Amino acid sequence: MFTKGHLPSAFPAVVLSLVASIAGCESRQTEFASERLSQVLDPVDAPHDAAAIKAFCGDCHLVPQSHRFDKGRWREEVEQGFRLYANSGRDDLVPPDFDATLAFFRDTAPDELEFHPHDSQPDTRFQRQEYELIGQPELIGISNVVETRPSDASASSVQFAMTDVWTGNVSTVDQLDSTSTTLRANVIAKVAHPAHIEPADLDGDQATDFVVADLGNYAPDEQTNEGTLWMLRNQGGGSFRRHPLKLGLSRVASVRSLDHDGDGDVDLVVSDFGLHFVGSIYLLTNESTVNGIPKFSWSVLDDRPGAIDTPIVDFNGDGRPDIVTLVSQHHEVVDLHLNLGGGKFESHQLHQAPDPAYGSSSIEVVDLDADGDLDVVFTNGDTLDDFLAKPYHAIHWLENQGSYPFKHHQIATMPGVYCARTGDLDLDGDLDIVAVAMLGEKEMSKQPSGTFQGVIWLEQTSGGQFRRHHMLVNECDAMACQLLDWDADGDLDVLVPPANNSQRVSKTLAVYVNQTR
Amino acid sequence: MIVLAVAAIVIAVGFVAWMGTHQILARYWAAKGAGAVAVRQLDRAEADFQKAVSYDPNLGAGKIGLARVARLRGQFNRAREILQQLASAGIASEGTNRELLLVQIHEGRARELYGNFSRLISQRPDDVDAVWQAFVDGFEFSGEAELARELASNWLKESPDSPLAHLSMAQLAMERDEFEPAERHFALAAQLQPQLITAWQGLMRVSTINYQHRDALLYSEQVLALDPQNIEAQVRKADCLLVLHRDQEAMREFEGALESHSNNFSVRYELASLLLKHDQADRALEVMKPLTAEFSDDVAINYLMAVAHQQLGNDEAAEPYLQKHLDGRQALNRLTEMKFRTEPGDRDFSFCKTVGLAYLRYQWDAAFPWLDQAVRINPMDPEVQQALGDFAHKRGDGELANRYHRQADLVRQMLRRGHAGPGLPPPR
Repeated sequence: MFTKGHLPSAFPAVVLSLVASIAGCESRQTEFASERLSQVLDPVDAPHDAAAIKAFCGDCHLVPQSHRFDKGRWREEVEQGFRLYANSGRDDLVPPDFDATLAFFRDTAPDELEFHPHDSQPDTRFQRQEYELIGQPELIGISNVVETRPSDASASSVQFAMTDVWTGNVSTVDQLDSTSTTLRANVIAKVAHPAHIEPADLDGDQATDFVVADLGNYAPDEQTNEGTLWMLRNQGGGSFRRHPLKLGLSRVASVRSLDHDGDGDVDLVVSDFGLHFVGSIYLLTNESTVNGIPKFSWSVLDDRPGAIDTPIVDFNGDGRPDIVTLVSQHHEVVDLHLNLGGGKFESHQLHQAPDPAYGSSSIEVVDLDADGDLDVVFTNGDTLDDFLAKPYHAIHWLENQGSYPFKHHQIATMPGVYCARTGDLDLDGDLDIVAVAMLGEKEMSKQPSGTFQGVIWLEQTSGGQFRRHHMLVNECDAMACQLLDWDADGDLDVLVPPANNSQRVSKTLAVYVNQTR
Repeated sequence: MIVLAVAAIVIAVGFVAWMGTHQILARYWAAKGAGAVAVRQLDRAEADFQKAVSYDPNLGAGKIGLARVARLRGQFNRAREILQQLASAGIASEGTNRELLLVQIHEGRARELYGNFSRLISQRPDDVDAVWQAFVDGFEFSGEAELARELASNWLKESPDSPLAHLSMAQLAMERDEFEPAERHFALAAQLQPQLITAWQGLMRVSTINYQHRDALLYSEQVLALDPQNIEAQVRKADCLLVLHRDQEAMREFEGALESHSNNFSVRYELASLLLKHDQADRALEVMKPLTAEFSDDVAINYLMAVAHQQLGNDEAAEPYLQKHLDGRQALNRLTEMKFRTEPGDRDFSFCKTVGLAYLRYQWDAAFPWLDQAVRINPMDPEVQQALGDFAHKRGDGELANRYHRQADLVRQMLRRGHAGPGLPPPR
């Protein structure tokens, strides 16, 4: 038909460029590829020995204890460990063989976790009363309650603020009168998923504002950074204006106010729980106030994720506020940050729990044994990660004996315990403890009736000894509680607002009214 | 006269040369297309075959190649349409009939047409893999997974060095979540044919499932070497870089992905988040701009907009986005409560549609399972078809979006005419 000479001059160029492109494709095969493929086709055995397993599983946290989960659960736990290592971006450890690792933990784990009956008496000191709220008919997940100074002159009126982590409501609540079974709620803001509220006069106008820690997203999620620190600025007349002090945090669990630099304004400590790889405790130093909104400089106090709360106390009596921190999320530590002034802190570990799946959940700093120094009361009962009740969930006392770490005492076990608060409930001059628990119905149904207690108080009988009284059994629907003198009779009552993880709506708050007086 | 004769000769020679050149080029591109099919680079194959038929519209190999590409993409109707065009043009060949038969086998009639197996194998010794593949996929497609597996094993016994046989075994293993054999067969396929893009893609996916981010990163680079605009590999590479704390490189990857896939909203969102993490709010706002109208109620996008404005010191501009974000969160809470209170058995069409539409509005990437369930229960609801199209559009898949939207129009027309047929299959 025709010869090469008849082809348009562009033809050879086209052909050459095509040939070049094909050749180019082939040359792109990297050395890595063949090397990696060889590894896939001829894999090297991962180590199986206990030392390798312990080295791998004890690098980020303590080596987990096999008795913390039953045999059936361990696969998920080991998978999680391998997954978290992979997602950490690290490659400095030698991952052991998965099956050997699973066997290491599972073989010595119990078939089922055993729940022992509590040595507990039914309470006779408190009488439960239910209160309906006008203005906030739906309560689902009250995550925090804080007593606030009554805004009016009535000495008998109780006023508190609370957050509902599910509905997003932030409200102040007060009694209509001391005999009414109805309370008046004022929803002062709606945010996403508020976990904690702190009263503070942020703009210096002598009216109480609030700072709210907002998780942003209810379900923990490494990708969604919608945690927000809100200021609710008091406008007077029960009206508050919402300002975002900081957006884009990972999961803000708590905020506490202090004046760490002694300059007379309000600084803050923010617990950004985060999840596995993000999250920190931040110290916010108040630099100025512009149009009533404080501007803070942010610094990291602790760069580990998992911060639950940071009570502020003057630990060493030097006049400067110190910070005690409870960091969960596999670290499971209680630390003290002594304020040295000038923005400097000296950190000491007060306690490290023995297992990364401990589930630390609340903390309070008090002189529990009345020996003149400050101790720590904390709880471990968080189930929002695996929804499992654990027999080792408990209320603990860290006794200050003048050196670090503090001496650990387990006071009482309580599966699902979320909050413990101290006060002299029986008016005998020492501190007692009240505690509440939250557990799912399905989880509770796995054990015989009577196994789980929802509200208890622990009566301190003599230096550090406690007698247990249960106020509510088989209903574990609270993650917060507050001691206050509800009926103004001079003894402490217990406010227990409802919370559950099943989006069940409650219409009432419970108050356990102390009958001592 | 002589001049005219010379001119006529020159024109004739020129014409013949032009014709000849076109035929050569057509055959060249068809061969190149076939090569691309062999390594499953279907976009490239389609482009090559299109070039082939643009040079010679009657070239059977070009048209059959296009039909094969459509078949391998699961677009059986399109494949049939192309082959029928050949038949109508009177240029059908044995190859056309063979491909038509493979279409029928592939789309699920493998058992019925199994009697043709030996004949098809012996018919074209250079094309036996296509026959095995069509039967394996056909059995798989018609729900006869065991037969598909058995056949793939036989294929591998017959042709242990066939990369496509290994690929098939790997894909069947993936379907069953058997990641170890899947990885091995993908690796063997890639080793036997390093240009086989689907093998590298398979390795990339297995590594991702196994959280082997470094491997996934390197496999994604292999895919990108073969197909530089492969969006899945671009996103995977960027995501791996993020896990490995190589944020700046991840940012560059996302920027690159956005250049070639400007409608991919997930990439926009991820890039904007990363920019904000590194305090580049101005650029983040620019990247987010195309999202704001289409995703005006999306909780995550509104929050990101608020963060960007706050970073720029403009709390006032942030506020409306924050309010929309919070309103959206409330709506999502209601959805969760609804789901919690409705047993899976009670989740009827209306429930799935309501949840799917709400998700599409407030948290678009959670919408698909609900809309998909709704359309399975009732394919004759134009609103759900429209919503699936909107979902595909938001995911950046314009082609699928158009197909769903066309289907929605079709349903509307049918309903207007009072037609109540058995319903429509999902668009392919």
